[in-house]
Amino acid sequence: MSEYASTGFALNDNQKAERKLLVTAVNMGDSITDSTGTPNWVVIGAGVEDSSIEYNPDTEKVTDILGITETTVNKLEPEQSLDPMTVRGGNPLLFKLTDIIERNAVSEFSLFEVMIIRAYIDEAYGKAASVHGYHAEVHKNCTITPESNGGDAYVDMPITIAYSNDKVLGTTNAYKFSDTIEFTPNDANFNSSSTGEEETIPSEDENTGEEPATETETTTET
Amino acid sequence: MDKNKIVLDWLKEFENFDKLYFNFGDVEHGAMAFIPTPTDRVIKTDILGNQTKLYKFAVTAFLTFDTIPNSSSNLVDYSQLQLLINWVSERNKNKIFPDFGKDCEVEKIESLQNVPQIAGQNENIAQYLMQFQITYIEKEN
Repeated sequence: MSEYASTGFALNDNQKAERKLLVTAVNMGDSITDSTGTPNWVVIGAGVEDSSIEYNPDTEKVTDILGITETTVNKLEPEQSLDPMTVRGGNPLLFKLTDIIERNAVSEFSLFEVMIIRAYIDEAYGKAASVHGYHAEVHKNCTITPESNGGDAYVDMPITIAYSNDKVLGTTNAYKFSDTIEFTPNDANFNSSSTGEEETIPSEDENTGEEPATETETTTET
Repeated sequence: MDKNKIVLDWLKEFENFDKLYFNFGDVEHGAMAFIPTPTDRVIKTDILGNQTKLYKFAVTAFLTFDTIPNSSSNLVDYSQLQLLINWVSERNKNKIFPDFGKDCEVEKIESLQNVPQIAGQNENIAQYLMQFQITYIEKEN
């Protein structure tokens, strides 16, 4: 069952979603798993005319004796390429990648938190809410690899993002390059559970199929 | 934001302008006119919605000419106009651009021809034409 309340796109009937409403942002601040500290979400893609998240589905097709074909999707391995990614002053991601290259610290390519914001789905759509709730998913420990460094008129550094699928669902208040983006996880206990504090028992809404608990379970020794 | 006025004010920094008109002016020796071309169009849009646009304009100049063999008068006038093309090129190299505001970033300004072009003449006056192009990015708001 969905973690979200939205049942449709934040668009009028037949209205097309503009490409600028699907945004990729990289965390260049503190991790979202830190209970203190502040993430710094940097929207990427300025100057990139075309980029898609390729899901690379791994599928299996079986046709039975009745001639019915069943297709099973085993996994998705999403990736996204961004080209040219021209080096610009003040770009923290490309500076970080350059630093990793200079130190040859290749393992650090796999430590990025990357967020996909779908600003065409808004929890606040059609409501009187003053704060937007754009659907967002943060993938932890993604790998961002620079493909090359150079180009013709300016220095380009095209990159490929390999999403981890280890994702945290939530919402953001904004999505534009110039905005300060704040990510709010759907799981209100997301940060507290990462510090080892007591967890609440999952409710039926989290699709466990169990009866909702009315109180925290405890054990006592006699 | 009136880009025409911004570019006109920027052009006026060229010290060799004697009389600079906007679109229309007197047809007399030394008169020059700034003429924006209706082409402020989008050439590409990136995935964030930022648009790369072109703003084109022309500068025309009216100068007397002579048809005397071995006269250097025409060449001297021509060289004066060439200075404007060189000036724009220098400004581009030093990134001294017209300011289109905080939501616009000028990438480059270039001359579309390397020498002034003769656009017309009558018995006494020749009309020269120089065309320029500003490439800028209008940021998604």
